[in-house]
Amino acid sequence: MSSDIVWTDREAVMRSKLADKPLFIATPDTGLISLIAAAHLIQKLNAKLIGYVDAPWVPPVSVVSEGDPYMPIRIYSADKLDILISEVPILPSAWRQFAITGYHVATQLSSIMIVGATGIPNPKRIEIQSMDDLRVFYIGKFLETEGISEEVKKAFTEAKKFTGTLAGPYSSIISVLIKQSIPFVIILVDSYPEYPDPESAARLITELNALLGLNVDISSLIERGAEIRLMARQLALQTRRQQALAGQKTGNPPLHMYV
Amino acid sequence: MGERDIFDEIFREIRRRLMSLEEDVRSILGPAPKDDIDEEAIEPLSTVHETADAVIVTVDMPLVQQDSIEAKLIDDEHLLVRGEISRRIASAKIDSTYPTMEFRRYKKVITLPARVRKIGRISVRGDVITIYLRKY
Repeated sequence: MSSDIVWTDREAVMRSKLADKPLFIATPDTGLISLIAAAHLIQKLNAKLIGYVDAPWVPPVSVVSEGDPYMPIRIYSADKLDILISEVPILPSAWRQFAITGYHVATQLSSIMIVGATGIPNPKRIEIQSMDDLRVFYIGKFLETEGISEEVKKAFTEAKKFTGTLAGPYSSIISVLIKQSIPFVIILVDSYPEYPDPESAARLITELNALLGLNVDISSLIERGAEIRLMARQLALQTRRQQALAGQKTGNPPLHMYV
Repeated sequence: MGERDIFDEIFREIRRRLMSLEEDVRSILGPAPKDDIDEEAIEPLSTVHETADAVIVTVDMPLVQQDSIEAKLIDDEHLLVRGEISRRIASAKIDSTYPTMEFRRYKKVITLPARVRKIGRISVRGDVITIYLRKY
């Protein structure tokens, strides 16, 4: 619901409204790749906190940094990108509310499009030793809409497109965005099915750099990769639990392949 | 009598709501890893797969010293995996409820989905260890 959104910096919201920026939505899912990428983007783009989400479906968890409490679902703004980030896994029963709230955030910021990302749970991920060999697939719709940049259209046209079922919070986001005819791109990157994958998040950032005209350096993310995996261990466990509760799997072939 | 019934009903409702909230929180947070503070050991993430003739265990051990990795069967249904971490990890980076200390190693006892005869092969790629166990 739009009333679930609390803006803490109205001037920044006004600047975002005038800037035709995309909104990147990050929530814990396979490999935690969008979450790790969003945290890196917020730091490297020097993004400012401009609001948060407060709703009955938000998990009752506070994030506290050196005594300073934060809401677990927050909204940041940088020059070329706004970011909606959930630091805690959303219960499957609230995925749709999270998606609707993401749509309302985009509407209130007049976002030009929504970008999301998640991992492809590749059981052979362990055999991929080079970041450049991680597969990347795109899902997108309504990209012919006026105002969408030629770079985005070109990148989407040239990208490998995903075929198969997609389960999880990004599936709910897609449903809501299709219903509302909002332009969107969801990027899928090879990832460990059940472990945090900072390398996959770094590969995602290289895609976002090209897609959105960013220039975010990934070297520190690669260097700190092992430490991030260790620190994100418990969040990966919690996310795995939510995925198990939902009982669905990404990657099943679509119906048209066997009828 | 009527008053007692009302209170019973109110407390029953409060209990029901608390139980529902507890279930939600447990569902979000899930079981915590079983770190061993006395042994300064972190429990790593792991997954277990079963094939017709083997059980395959993978363990994610970021920053592990590869020459310290140890895997041994405690019995035919439990596997112990250990390894030293290449640098000390402050407890605050793992769980801020822990006492101020440093973790030095990984340790996990994994319950296997089937009885196994012996450890076949161990492979290490990056910091992910894969252990192949032969079934009876």
